[in-house]
Amino acid sequence: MEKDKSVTAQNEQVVVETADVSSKEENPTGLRILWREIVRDKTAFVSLIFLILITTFVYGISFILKQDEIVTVDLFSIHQAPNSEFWLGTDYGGRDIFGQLIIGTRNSLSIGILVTLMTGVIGIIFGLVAGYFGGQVDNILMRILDFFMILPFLMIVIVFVAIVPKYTIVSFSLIMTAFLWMGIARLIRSKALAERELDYVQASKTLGSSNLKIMFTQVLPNLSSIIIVNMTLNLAANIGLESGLSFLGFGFPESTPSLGTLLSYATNPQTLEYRWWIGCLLQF
Amino acid sequence: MWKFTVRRILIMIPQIILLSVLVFLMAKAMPGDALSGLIDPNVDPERLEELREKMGLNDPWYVQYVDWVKNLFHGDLGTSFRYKMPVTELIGRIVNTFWLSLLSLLLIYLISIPLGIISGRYHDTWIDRAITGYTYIGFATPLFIFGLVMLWFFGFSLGLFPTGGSVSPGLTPGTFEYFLSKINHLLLPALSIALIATVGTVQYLRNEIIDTKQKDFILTARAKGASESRVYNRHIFRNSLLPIAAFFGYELTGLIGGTVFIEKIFGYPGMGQLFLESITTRDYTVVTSLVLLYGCATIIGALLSDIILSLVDPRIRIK
Repeated sequence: MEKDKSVTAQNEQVVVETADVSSKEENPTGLRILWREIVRDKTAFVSLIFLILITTFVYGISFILKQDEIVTVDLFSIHQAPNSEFWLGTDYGGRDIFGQLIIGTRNSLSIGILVTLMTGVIGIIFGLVAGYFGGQVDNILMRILDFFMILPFLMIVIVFVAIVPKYTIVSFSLIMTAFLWMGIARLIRSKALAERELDYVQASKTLGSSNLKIMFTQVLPNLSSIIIVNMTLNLAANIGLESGLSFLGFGFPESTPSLGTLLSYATNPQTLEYRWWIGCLLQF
Repeated sequence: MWKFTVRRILIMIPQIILLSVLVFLMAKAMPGDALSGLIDPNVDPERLEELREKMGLNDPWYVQYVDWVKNLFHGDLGTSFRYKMPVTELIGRIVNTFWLSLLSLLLIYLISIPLGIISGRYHDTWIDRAITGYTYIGFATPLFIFGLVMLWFFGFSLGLFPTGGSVSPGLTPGTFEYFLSKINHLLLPALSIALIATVGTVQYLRNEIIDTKQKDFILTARAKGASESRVYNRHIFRNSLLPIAAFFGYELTGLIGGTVFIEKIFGYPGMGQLFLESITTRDYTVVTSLVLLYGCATIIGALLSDIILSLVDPRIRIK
């Protein structure tokens, strides 16, 4: 099973690795092993290069392109097919689709990374505390978690987005985070429960290390591999969720394009039938 | 068994209470109240204030909460600002969503069980690689993009399926044609959900089968001289099906989120579409009722999962 998953897992592992190496407590030898593995595996290596190219391209170009300029409506160039000025054509507001695609990808990617990091931090702390202490603490924390699990995620988030008066990338990420941390918390908790029974934890306790120290400097590094795999999968899922919400019209306004906003342009039946260059975004 | 079920149901009660408090507070946080929809220039503001007092809208929130819960038990979910009719009548649309979820669920298992078995049984062959390839693509494709592609390809380009609504106009309910038209409208949305949602189950089943294959009791079965098909169909398959059965309830709740997207894309008049419409028109009584309803559905899904799990896996009952 490990082997079959390795291709995608590694590809995605790379995303987080490049995105937040600094935030991970991964010792350098681990990273070096990872690097050697990737270079040896052709598929993974090509994917890595591809990913780095896309990310640097998107973030690099978005420095040159001005978001305000791109989302300004231009009535003279509505619904143009792709040409030399507008590489991918224009939408119903005469806005350049290529520019929006770049900016949209950047926004979606940023939110995905932000949400993944925040859910990761909350989930790891929550799960570690519950799993490490066990017993009554675990019981109470798990009841809280159970409650969050039964909330209909999509609907609650949409309602919150509707309530919050003015929202930015940060507040949107906060709303998403508030209802997304449970998965990783559960995972960490179950692993920490097993980990606390191991001898090294007992030994460290006898030597007089504080609980905090054992939890974060000794148990946590032992769970790092599972955290990395889980967070990479989360990153992909979060980007999808953000696009999904924007697609439904509850993400960002049109002045802050994201991949989902662009996709929702394509749902218009007329667009689907006659203006393929907007529909082509589907390919992304 | 019964002890477990009763205990599990008891845990549900505080969850439902908490959910209802949360939903109620959300409703309070939204702008407007039950009277905002009635405001017209001819109504005296003082009279409105009087009405507010009479309806208890000026009471502290916990008093209002108790009143709200009392109404809930009487089957009164409030009145929609927009449609000016009781919410209970509006949510009759739940039938559409119910059929959509049911058909999707059916398709999910129809697709995933054979695929999972094949790819588990012949693992590391080209057919297994093809199936895992499909599951990776399925994992990577967001549901709404896939739905759009399906709509565009089968609905617009090929014209095989209708592209909106739940039934063709001009048909009388109850006739066979009406039924056929319903199915025809359901098929494409349900298939879109199923093809994406199925990949998780395929992967689970595959891994489970590969795991079970190496267990000792399979060796014993082979040693006894059981035929290959008997080993697979009776010993491996039945043991691998445990987690799949257990995930049934969660699959159900997962579908809830999926139907919202799919209903929007296919213009299918169900609960998800009603929810999105109500949010955009700020029809908050409908929104809160729907959130509460979906929350309860999720709770019941989790309950079902646990009960099924305890049915198929006796080890859990002992705890």
